[in-house]
Amino acid sequence: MGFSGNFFRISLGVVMSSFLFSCGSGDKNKSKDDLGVDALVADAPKGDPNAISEQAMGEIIQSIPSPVEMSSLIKSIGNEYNNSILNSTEKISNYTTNSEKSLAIGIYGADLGYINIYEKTYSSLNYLNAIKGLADDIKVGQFFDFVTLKRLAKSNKNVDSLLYISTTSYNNMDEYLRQQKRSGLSVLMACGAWLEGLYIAGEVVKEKNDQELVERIGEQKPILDSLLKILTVYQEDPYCADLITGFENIKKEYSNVSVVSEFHEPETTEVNGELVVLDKSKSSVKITQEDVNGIISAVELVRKKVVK
Amino acid sequence: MKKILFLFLAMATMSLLDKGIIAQCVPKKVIDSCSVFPKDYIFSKARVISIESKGDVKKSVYSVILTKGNSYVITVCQGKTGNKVPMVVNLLDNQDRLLMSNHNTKNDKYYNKIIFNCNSSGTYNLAYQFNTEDMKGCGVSAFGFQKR
Repeated sequence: MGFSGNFFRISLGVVMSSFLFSCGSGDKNKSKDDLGVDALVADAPKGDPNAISEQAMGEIIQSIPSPVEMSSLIKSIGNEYNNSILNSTEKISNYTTNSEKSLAIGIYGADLGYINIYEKTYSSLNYLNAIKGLADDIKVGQFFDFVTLKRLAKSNKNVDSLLYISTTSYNNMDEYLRQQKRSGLSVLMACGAWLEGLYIAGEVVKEKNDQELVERIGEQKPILDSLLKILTVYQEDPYCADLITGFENIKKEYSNVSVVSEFHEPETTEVNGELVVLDKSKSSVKITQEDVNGIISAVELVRKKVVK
Repeated sequence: MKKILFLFLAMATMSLLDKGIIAQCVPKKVIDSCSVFPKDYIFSKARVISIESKGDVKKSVYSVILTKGNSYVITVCQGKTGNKVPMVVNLLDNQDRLLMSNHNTKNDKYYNKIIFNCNSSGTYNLAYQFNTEDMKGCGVSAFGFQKR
């Protein structure tokens, strides 16, 4: 095939891609109820005191640490892999609205991170299938390189690549949703991932009261505040309103928790041509056992409600 | 036939550009190569930094929440700008105190990879800029953390 053949293939590919992307946001025929929070973005009243720009929302979401960081710590403290604390993929059919599906993508995403950190790649296939199915339903499945991920999941030697591609797929879905002014779904994905990460940490702390993990739970306070800030934009949506109520209940349990920090100049060295900076500042979390128990219970209540 | 196809191609490309899908100044292969970290570091996110120096915008600043006890890697790579000097990344704490920079001003050396061993959990800022004459530039920065 010569130039014109290649040209035809490329043209067709791009045109088809364009239609696919256009279809990706093509929920125009659906009613507002079908779309849920997806439809509210365009309706966010101008001058609303809760209004936050799409860009600001994106920056808040992007600043939140990956739930994989929490899973990595959980593994490092010697906690055994526990499949029973994850959200079963058999529940996928329970998630019917775009809002529920987006939150579930976040939840399954955090579960997938936990599975991958423990290198249980055989389990990851079910979670990849679940995420792909939900992502297709909300028209962002095109960013999920399922074929490559499935291939990588067949061996636990590919964990780093699996984590890289699943993270970039997730980030691309998130970015696309915001570009398409469907930030409500992006916010719910972030909320789901955060909630599941905290839930897993809480379940582990119940078994093994590791001090570092307890501190990490305490440090979630400002992240919860940020999530509430962006969720409040969608407070008129009943699903988000329920989630806000649940998150507010978690926040109440954080009321006595505080993070104290002390600044010291960092030390910088060059090691093998790389710059290595040793942070000499210190931070500590003030959190009691009662606070921890209250947070874990409040998180369990919200999580139980949303996973169904 | 070619004209019709070209028209479709142009319209489709414009549509994609409008959606920001391919409107990036950094090829995907550069993003991927910039996300190759030292062993045991896990990829978290990559950002394309594009500064067109419109108005007073001369740097891009992003917040990031870092956790005590974690080691983070930050890489910077050049986009399609042909700039002779690499992109500069500065890490600042929430009081805007400079904690590290990939540009050592004493010897004018640039690093494309920095390891930050965090000892204080909180919100930090990553500020990107280009030390070019017009302050314009394009690059990518990837961010990851060490497996514990």
